[in-house]
Amino acid sequence: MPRAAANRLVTMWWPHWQATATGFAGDLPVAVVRAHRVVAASRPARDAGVLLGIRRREAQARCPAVQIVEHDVERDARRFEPVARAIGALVPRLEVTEPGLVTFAVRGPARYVGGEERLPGRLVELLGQLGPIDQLGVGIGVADGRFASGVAARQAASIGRAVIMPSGVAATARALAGFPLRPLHDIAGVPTDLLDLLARLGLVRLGQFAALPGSDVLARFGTVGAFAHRLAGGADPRSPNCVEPPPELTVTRRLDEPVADVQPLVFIAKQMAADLHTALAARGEVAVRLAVEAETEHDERCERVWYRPEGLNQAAIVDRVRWQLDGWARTPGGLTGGVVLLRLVPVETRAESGRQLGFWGGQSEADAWAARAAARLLGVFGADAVMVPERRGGRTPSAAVGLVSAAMIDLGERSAVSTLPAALVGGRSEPAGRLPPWPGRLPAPSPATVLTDPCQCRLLDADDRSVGVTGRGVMTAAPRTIEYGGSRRRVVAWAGPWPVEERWWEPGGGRRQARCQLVTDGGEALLVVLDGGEWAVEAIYS
Amino acid sequence: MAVAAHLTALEDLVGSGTLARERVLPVIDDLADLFPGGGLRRGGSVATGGTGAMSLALASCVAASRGGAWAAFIGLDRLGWGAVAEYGIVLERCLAVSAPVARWLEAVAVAAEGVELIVTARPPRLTPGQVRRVQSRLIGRGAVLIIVDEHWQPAGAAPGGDWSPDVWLTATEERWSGIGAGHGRLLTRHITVEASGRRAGRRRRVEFLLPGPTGGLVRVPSGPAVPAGRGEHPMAPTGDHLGVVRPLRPAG
Repeated sequence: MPRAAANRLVTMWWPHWQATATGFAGDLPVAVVRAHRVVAASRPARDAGVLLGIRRREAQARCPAVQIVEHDVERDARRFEPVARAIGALVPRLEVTEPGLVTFAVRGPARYVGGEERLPGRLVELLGQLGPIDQLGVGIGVADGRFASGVAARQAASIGRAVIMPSGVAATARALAGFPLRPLHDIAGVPTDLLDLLARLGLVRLGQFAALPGSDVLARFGTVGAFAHRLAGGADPRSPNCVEPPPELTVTRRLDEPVADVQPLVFIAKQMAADLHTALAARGEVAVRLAVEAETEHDERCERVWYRPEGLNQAAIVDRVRWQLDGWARTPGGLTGGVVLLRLVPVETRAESGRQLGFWGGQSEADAWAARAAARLLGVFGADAVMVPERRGGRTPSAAVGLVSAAMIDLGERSAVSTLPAALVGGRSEPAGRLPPWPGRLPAPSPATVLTDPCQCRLLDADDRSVGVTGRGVMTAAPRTIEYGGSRRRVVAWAGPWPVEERWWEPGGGRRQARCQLVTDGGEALLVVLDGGEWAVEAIYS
Repeated sequence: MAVAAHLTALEDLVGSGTLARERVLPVIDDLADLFPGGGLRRGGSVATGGTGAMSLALASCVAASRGGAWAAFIGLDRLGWGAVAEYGIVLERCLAVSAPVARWLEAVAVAAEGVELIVTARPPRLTPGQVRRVQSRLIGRGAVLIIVDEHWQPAGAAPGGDWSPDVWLTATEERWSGIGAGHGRLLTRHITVEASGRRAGRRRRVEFLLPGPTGGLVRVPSGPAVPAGRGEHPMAPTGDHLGVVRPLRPAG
């Protein structure tokens, strides 16, 4: 059997991993949403017309039975670890780009199972041992180079069986010729404006692009264009500025006491990531591939290579260490003792291209200081105590803007994006302070105080009888008095009720609420809500 | 030397102006004359009290936030973030820290390391030494402490507890318009604010619309009394009293 070429790679891709990771059975329609937009959907949901990028509301309209689940990066990573370990039984060095996308060299495993054409079958068999869910929708592609194998995996995921492209540059080019240009962006990170330009020039297939003379492409589109052209032509060069870093950049931390908890380990990894990032930044580089190794006192080892084409900054490194350790700790039989050694090995680096945002404001010194203060607050008070607000949209005062942990977010980037003109960020950003319209939401102004646990109250009419709301959404009587928090106030003005019926299609009956605004004789304005026959003060317009 | 003379002349020309701007964080024009120096003095503190305390604190932060300053909201778990956005504060530069009251000092000290606007609930009992320590931290980093004292009583002392703020703003009266007996909705609020403090000079009474017709704070010029805005129809919110109001100028 001939030896496979060194750059012959297998890519395994779960196109809707976020939906698979929710743990629902594969025959249920599930949609994973982030910021109210669908980012992944299970097959029954896709069959019902739930597309990526549509709004949550639209997904529910197209498929009323769909289960909506909020996106959770940690959950994706956690549920992926058993899968990665299962593949690891066959593949010694596995490279995880993100949960749901792994790449590894064909050479070793193919010889072990007796030929690369048997490899996909063996991989599916391994996944089958994990249960029926984890092999769902996986695309296995074998080809020369990362780009071609990624394209093969995408095709495999859509046709439902493994795709093996022939070896060799010319053969790869022929195999790629019929595919659209889009994977150049999705897999290799070629900017979309270049692809748009090519499309306007009438080049819509990789084969058409590859047929252009290389020197002309270089002259017209520069190095990025030449890079894309080589990819389309089946030659998979490493990104031209990628180098293998010298071994002295490896950051190793031996722990005197074995540490069994993930949280303190992540804290240690944070310092290590900072050291590594500083050392690389001093050389003007950023890690693209990084091996994270951990060893326990009982000599158990966990090694994983992480890949991120745009470079792993400090936060990204820490995330990957957390995913890896968390998954390891949760796998039954994964580790039996405390961790005594952590090592970060940069496998491949590339020149840090830097970002040029400053012209319209961009990331300022204040942002860097604030990010540092946030990191210290996180260290002192924990990940759940330091949050950043995020616009979500919703009907109630507490739902319109949600809070997410500051540990999950690159604060500087967020602030920089907020100062960019809307046209630069896809035209979707709202003007400062303006929330997008949300049907059924309370109109502005919003209350400045929202009670964390609504305070029970009583609304009474002129004869001291309780006031209710009829089935047609009308008050049974004008409220004259409100009793709450041990005090009794006269109501001088009121408006409403605004009824809300949510999730009425659910067998449990959903919920019906009605909201009223009240002004008391003290001048205080309150938002009260009727839920299940009980009034409660929900917010104060303080 | 001619160059040196030129430089001195230039420094005379621009020096004081830039310094003054560096010493204070900006506030929107309608609030500027309530603060000595026309803005939030770096290293200083402001307290707001009364029923509109939260809104007053938010309105004070708007211009600085739009200008690029970060804001940390410490111990204000009941803050309505919708209102924060509507007053014009940039949500992307906000942090919400839920620290227990007992660790207030620690939270403020750490936040002051990198955040310029620190908005907190009323601090716990502090010794004079602790107050000095926080003050020197604020001065060292150029941060501004804004204390929201919702429990302030009209009969009591200045808001802020043991803290002695440079400026305090207390909302004494509020009157909502746009809402009637069973119709309309809350639109604008007319509040009377007393401004006072160690550095604020004599006690003054100022009237605002907070929120005003466009969402932010609007000064009501002193003069003829503002008619009570009770029972107006929401479709006709621009009554006489709104007509005489200066339009809100974009801050920053």
